Amino acid sequence: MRHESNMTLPFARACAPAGKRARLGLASAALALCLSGPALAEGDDEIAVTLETFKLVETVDDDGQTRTERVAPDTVLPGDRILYSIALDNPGEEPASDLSLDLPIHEALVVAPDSFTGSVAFEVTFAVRMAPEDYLTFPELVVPLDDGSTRPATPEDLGAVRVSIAELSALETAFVEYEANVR
Amino acid sequence: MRYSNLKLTGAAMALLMTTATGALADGSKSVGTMAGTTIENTVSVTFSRGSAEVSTTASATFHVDRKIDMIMDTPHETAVALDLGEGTFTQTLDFNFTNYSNAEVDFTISVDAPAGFSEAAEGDDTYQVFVDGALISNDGTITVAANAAPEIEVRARFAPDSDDVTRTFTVTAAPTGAFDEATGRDITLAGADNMNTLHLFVAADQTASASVDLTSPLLTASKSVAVISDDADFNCASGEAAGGSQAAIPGACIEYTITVNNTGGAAMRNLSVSDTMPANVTLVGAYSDDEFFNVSTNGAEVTAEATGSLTSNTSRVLRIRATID
Repeated sequence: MRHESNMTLPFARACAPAGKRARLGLASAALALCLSGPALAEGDDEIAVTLETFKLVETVDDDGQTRTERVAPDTVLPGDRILYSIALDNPGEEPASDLSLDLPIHEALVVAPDSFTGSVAFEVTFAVRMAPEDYLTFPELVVPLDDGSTRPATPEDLGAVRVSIAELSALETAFVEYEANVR
Repeated sequence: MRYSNLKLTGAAMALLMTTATGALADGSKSVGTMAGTTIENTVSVTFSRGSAEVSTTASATFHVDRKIDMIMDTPHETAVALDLGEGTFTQTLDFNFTNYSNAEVDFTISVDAPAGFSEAAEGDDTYQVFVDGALISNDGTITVAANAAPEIEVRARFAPDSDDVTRTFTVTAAPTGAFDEATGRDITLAGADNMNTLHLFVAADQTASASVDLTSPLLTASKSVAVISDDADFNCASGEAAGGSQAAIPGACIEYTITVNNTGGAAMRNLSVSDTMPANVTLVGAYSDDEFFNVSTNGAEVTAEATGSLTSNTSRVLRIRATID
């Protein structure tokens, strides 16, 4: 199943290559912490990757409705919810295929395996810290025990994430986001 | 597992162990990630364009800030009973303090003592504060590592003649530095270490009170005298009282009745009663109704020592017989 990148991407755009911002729209995440990946080559073959970090804060509006807001991670404490937003921008005339996004999970973070969202079709697999090379979907994931048996993995066991995207079309910008808690 | 255009939801976060206050799912607290920890997340992207495989990376970093959180409580769920009648006038009150901050924190330890008490090494109605056995002054500062739980003691000394009252000592631990007393929450820029300080405690968590129920013996005594026989042949040492009106004439037998009463809340120990016969009266003997006293005489003096404790709200009678000269 393929999904076009026609969603509003206010945060993913903030760190898009300067030349592409006009096409993507105004950058609204002025508070975002983001670093662009290094250029691969000159020209349109470059895929710009940005990774932004937000803290998720629950707020209650005047109507009593609870909302989750994204704020800059200026103050982060144990227990805080963190949102990672990865933006992929393919400015070239050719599609990119077999995209693999590898993200080691910092030991101070607990990633929520069901929190992954995106503007394109993707598959997410995980590896536990005790077996960092074995990527499986979360329900399939087990943790080896000393007696040779295994137990189902928990979010605390996760040590790495791999997001696989079959194709990123020419001139397409896509994003993938997920949440983590600070231990 | 495939995802596509999923709506962002926080429901999955319920799976996670910690909450915004650092409490674990079982209700206990955790220190969490230490302050100053740098969390860098790097995504490595590889993809194919035509026959070429290319890769790139991007990173994002944030720092974990300092939260200040602590619990003060006491194992003394009810007031500690202290029987001053036993001759012990000191009581140690224990307080449990745990620094649940994710960093080493300086705390001021303050003791709110009962009225009339002073901080001193000795003397009646005094107290001192000890942390892990070391004396500190009231409002002194201690440095507590993350997740450490120093033992706080208040050692109180009470006046032996204290009333039967409850004395309460309240110990408060407060992080040093300015914070909002009303909300218990503040953010203080910590400067170059790129950390902020958040005080997450609520007021009740940093204060605990323990009480001492003081009980002490309280003695009242009364003395009366009556002529029990004006018959010159009456056996004054052991005869039964004649009854009726008897004249206080020379040779008459008189009886002093001394009643001691403990109206206090604690037993009275080592009770001793002494009495000296006045002039113109000759001591004959003395006894107690139930042999509560061991009685001895020496000339005109009577000494009676209790054989046991005079319990709370009980009385005993010592009888002394003499003749009028």
